[in-house]
Amino acid sequence: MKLALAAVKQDFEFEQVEYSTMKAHPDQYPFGQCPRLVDGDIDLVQSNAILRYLARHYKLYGKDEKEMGLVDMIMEGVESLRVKYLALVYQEKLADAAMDQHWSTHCDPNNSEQRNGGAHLVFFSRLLQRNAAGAGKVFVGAGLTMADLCVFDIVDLHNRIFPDKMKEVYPELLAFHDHVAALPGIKEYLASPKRVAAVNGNNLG
Amino acid sequence: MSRPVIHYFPIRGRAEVLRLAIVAGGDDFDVVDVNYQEQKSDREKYPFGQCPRLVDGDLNIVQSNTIARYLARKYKLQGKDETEMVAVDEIMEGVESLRVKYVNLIYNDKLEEAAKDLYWKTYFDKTTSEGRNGGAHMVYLANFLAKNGGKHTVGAGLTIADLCLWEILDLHLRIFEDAIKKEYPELVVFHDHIASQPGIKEYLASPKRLAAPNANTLG
Repeated sequence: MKLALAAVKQDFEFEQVEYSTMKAHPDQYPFGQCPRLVDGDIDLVQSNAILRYLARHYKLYGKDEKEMGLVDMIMEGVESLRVKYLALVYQEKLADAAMDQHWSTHCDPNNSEQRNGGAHLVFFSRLLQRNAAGAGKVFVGAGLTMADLCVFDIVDLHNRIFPDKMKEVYPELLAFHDHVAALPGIKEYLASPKRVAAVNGNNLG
Repeated sequence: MSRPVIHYFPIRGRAEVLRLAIVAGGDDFDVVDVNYQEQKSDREKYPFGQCPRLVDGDLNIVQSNTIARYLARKYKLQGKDETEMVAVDEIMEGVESLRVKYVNLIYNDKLEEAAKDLYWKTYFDKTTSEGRNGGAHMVYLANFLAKNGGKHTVGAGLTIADLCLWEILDLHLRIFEDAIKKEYPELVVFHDHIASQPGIKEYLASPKRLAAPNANTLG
């Protein structure tokens, strides 16, 4: 979310959520969860609904029906992998055996035809290569879309916990990551204090 | 408009909402039973090794919620303006959260009694909605319907959000019928109202409405 706003050079404000408020105010938090975005008279929860709203609003959704479908598809694929990542961080607490299992099931290209709930890094590697117009820099069409920001984020999270393996196995995803990180707006945001240090709620990852 | 083709297993599963969207839009669809080997190995057709997959004209789409959003746009079920569109998206995400819990109950817990009790308590019992539930609770979805007048979840007409809620409700009515009738009578009214909509009504009575909701014969 913050990446999207940074990419389009839209400044934003930040309010720390009060957990008890979130749980007790279904008017503002219809599912008892955050993030929540307030933008004029739009008041939204559900991270992926917020991302799609921002994508439409700031023209990060592709240029036609075909591209929109691809953006959506890639967002769903990132979501599948994000769920596995969150389990690794919050439930398994990055224990060694769990880390090995996560890499093997969701990152090792040799295992991509196994059962993985549609969650695997190599799918993104292939989708990036498949988009000739993007030349390894964007996932859909020729310009930045929300799909790029979502993949950037999930690659970033994995790079923090598997730095050597990512370098060895997914140089093209890291090159993509570095390209996005250097984009105007994003570059400044990543260097700013708005880019908070704590990645997850439990200080792991 | 071209007639879409759904590639999936011969169950309702994650394709059911898609079938409902197509018939609600006054259209019809063809069905191809997916070849599991092809699904796992053909990256062009199945970028994530999963189905459902929709082929419509020269579009090839996977990811059930992506297909749902595409069909919503095609058949004008996505909401009429930005405010409605975001509400539709919110509800779809909320249904997805609950669907994940349902799928776990069916495939991992295999509908065991103790698991069913805990499930009802965590995701349906109105007194527990402020607990930790991953955003999955039927009362959240019921609130959207109540706030919008009880017939539709968003705006004044049918949207894909209604179909998503209908479908997840339909699955739960099969396993918690009495409890839902007692706790959520307004949802039962909504379920009946949507089931009688033109297109949907005929589909539900047709052989295209498969008997098996899930792949393991439970639910």
